Amino acid sequence: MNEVETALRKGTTTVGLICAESAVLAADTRATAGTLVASKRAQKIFEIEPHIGLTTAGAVGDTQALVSILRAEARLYRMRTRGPITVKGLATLTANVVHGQRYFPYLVQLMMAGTDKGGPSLYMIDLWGGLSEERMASTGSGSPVAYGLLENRYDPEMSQDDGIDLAVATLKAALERDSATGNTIEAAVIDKEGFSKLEDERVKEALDKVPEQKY
Amino acid sequence: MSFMPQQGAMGYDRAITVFSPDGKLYQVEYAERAIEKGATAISIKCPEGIVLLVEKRFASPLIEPRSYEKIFKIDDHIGTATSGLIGDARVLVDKARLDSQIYQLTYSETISVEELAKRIGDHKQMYTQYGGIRPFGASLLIAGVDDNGPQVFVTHPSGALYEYKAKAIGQNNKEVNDVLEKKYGEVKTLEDAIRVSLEAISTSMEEPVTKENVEMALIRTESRQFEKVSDEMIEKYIEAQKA
Repeated sequence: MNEVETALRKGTTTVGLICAESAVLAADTRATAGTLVASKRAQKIFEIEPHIGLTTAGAVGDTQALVSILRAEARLYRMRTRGPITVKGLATLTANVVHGQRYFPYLVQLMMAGTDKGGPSLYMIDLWGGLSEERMASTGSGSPVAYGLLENRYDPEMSQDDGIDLAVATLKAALERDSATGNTIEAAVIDKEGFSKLEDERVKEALDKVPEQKY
Repeated sequence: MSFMPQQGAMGYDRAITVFSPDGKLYQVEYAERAIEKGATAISIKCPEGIVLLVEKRFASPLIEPRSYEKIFKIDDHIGTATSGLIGDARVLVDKARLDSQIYQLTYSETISVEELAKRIGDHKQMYTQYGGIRPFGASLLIAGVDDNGPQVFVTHPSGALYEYKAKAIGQNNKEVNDVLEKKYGEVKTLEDAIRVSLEAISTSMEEPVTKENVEMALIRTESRQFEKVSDEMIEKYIEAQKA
């Protein structure tokens, strides 16, 4: 099973954090195959429902298949129960789907964030089906770098704008120090209005706020 | 004794997956008849909660009363009153309890009353479309309180599902439902609902209503907890209703 775990450490950095009234997700766009940059424009943030977003790290095929399953399940739930699924509900379902593949696991590390009647929430799901609720979290090979900055600057009461700035700054640090993380940064917010991907200009604005390196 | 088909049914009641030329599934209709023979069951909802009431008919005076059960807890917030074949009803109750726990494990959320009723309806429908099996000869009054407030659903052998403000199933259900239709306007509190349910059930019973011949349960909107009503409390409600 060691190869399974090392397979997960080969690329990507994603960051998720809860602000006062919303959730922020950010990820790089580099997909690697060994030392080759297989894609410079890989999508790692997905809208599952209008109020739920997901970040993915790990085997691309597995993550895409999971996204399809989760979108279908969420829509079926909405039709059957005449209401949207809660973030906790979909996160639990995801953990169950992943856990159901115990012997041929989905090689993924997921973060699910969204807003529902209980406000914003964030969940981490590992490839064994482990589920944990977090205020801030990071996945992928760059996560040790990301956590360094998050531990230092994260505040659960921070505004959405501050949250976006922190998420992008964290990604920037991972881009600098993790060779399997790189190219561009994508970010999304999930607030009362729902999921929205940030414009490139907003990401650039956040990047411009990162202090210039002195050496 | 002849096994020749009767005029009219012409053998279309022998296999349930076969429609009759006029579009009927006779076995499903016969299952409805079985329920109409069963003891009366009533459920009434009001903003304060829901009352479930069934008539207990002992086939023998030697039956231990505590073994006679027609109102069942499905989950903390959902209960059901049954009418028809008790064996069939108990199988459906087991299925409902299982579905409720499966939902909890799947989503980390309690199942809604409507979703549970739909799953029971789906299960019953399956038994009208496959060969070698017969429909359930039991109806369930599924009552519960969730985020949408108090709700009462009735499931039929066909799989059909309806939500009611108040409903009676089983023997003399037409007469009992007439009483409910007339009196529902009076129901403002849970006490009113209990009073009307006792009044309604007495119209289908030969003997006067006593704590021995009815079974009662409540689900209060505030607590969302299913609770069986003790014999002592039933007696008090009967006294209050007489007054």
